[in-house]
Amino acid sequence: MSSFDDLIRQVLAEHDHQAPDVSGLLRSLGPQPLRSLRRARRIRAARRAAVLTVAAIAVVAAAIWTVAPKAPGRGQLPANVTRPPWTAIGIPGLPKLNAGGSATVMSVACAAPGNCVAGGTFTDRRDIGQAFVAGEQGGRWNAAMLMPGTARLNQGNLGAVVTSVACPAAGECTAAGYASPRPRQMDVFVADELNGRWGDARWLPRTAALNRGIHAEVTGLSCSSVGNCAVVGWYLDSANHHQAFAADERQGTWGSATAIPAAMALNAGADAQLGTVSCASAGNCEAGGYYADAAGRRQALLASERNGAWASATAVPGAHRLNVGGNAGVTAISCPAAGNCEATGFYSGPGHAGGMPFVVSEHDGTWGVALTVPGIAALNRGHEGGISSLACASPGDCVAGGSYLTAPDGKGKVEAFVAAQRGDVWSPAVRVPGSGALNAGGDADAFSVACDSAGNCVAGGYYTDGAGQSSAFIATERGGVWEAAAPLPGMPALSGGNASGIVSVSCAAAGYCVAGGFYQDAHGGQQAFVTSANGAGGHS
Amino acid sequence: MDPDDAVAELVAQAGPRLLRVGYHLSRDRAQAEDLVQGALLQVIGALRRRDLRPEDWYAYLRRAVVNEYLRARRLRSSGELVLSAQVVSGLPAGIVPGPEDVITDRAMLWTALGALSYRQRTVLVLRFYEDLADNEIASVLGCQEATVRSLASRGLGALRAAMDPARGSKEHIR
Repeated sequence: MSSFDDLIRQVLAEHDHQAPDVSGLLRSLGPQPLRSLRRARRIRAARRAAVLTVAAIAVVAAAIWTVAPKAPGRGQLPANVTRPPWTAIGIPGLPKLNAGGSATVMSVACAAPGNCVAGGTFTDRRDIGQAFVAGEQGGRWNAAMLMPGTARLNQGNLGAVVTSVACPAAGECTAAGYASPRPRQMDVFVADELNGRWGDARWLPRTAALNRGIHAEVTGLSCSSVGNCAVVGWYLDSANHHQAFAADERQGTWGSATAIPAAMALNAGADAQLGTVSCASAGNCEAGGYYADAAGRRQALLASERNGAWASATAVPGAHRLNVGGNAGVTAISCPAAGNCEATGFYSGPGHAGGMPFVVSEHDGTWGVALTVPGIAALNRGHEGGISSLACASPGDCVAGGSYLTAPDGKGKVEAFVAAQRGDVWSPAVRVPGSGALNAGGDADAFSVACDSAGNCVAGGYYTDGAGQSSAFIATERGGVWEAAAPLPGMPALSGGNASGIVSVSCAAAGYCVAGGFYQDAHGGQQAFVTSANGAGGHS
Repeated sequence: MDPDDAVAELVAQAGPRLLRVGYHLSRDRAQAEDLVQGALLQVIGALRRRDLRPEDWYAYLRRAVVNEYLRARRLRSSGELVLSAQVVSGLPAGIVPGPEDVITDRAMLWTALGALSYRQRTVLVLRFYEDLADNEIASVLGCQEATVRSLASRGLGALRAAMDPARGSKEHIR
């Protein structure tokens, strides 16, 4: 063996320490590793992978999707557009930005019919992840643009992404995301749109107590009215422990992110996150996540803001009794009225690491007891289920979407399900109608749900065909009845049959909905798409 | 085994070394994590489809990491530069550290490894970091053993040239 060979061995070994630590991988997997991995395949990869094709091709297809627009807002829709079919378009202008070929929509939000916003991430020609926003006005999507201000913020190597957008009024939206200020560091930014123009993104102020860590991510954003929003997320403290934070915007001014004292008191095991937030009115929000108790068991967490103060946090009532396996969390929350919210989550039953969905209801400010989603136990025999999304049109009228595993021991299929609550009563969860025939490959998820009114909702996600290819599907509920899920029309023209998925859906008040997500183009690059209301993409 | 338990066990058993392999291939911490996460997902799928012995998990995961890395690199190969050994060394011609400067040699070698073509680097990482024989590397890459030898030979030649620009300033390393 030559000394040169030995030198190569030594050099490789000497750089082992530069590789990421496995603890970071474990943290990123969270309480439900398998679900986290699936999510990572679709979302996190778009943020960081930055290893796809150099030359992206702009693919634009005609696209229309609306559900019976009744009262157009600022953006008037063509009068002849009534219940057109679902179709998808590439986001105008984004392929030009996405030279690194790794883009996705992370979040869409609609304020009024024809007036929506999409936020997400792309990779530039240096393979650095960048945050983007794109707006729809009058039913036409404008060209995507680099999130203003993020070029200055995003100086590190971990990239930037808009994770959440919220639109309390047309042209008055808010975005939250994270960017990398320095190598191996990540921090949270927020940005506001005023009269249709985005202001510069800026770092979310932090209290001194939070300022020691080098990594923070935002996981949830909710706006009750223009300029009155809340974000939640997590940060690594100086001891490298996960801690939950929340921050509020009041009258257009963001306050500092703060750790919630009551949540920290519960978090004896030093592992907490908030993952979802919903605000019914300014200063009155509910957030959910998990914390680790003294025994290191993850427990489902609810935190409440009343009159502008995040004063209380509590374990989800009854969840600890279900959580025999020591792994639980709140995954989604929706507050159609102050003090009247719905939350969903999961727990691990006896002998299982995780994955039985629960729901819990709040009435007049008091949370009830967590209940296993009716009917899910019979479906989720593999004990690997979860709710990805929850939407409530009014108190007691909600829809949840997610996935379950049909059989244990790795022999089952992962199927998408929806469950509906009407008049405060949850009906049994059902596999998304029509998705079983699509999902021959056995991996599906109803990733996002949205409702324009009670009984009139949409669910979007992905299924896997017999060849193992994942594709976006959409399912529509009309008058309380789910129609059969179908592949998203227009997607074959965009993706050429390659992989795709819906990440986010949003509905405006008058039955107008938009979906966003990603698809793989003919060159293997990952592109972002939205649906639109009046045909072609718009002002690219 | 519960899939989440399986993931946790896979990470505990194989995570640290796989992350290092992923890093040596990609030179990017975030991408190394992505490669390992993708590999974990594939292996979980394999566990569902067939019985995979625990002692085979690491090899299966390593193959998945390598294949994911190669797949991603192939997609962007049209944009990859053909670098000269001089460029690889990062040093202008004529400014060459002496062989006695071991630290600089190692820094140069690390830089040169990072600038090899992705297939050459993969072969050398598997040979010198994972101590795989050429036939095993061929199995991982899905190619002929002769191809492995050729890639290794050209890669080593490029590294030597990078260490000695007098030999390699005109030599392309792809």
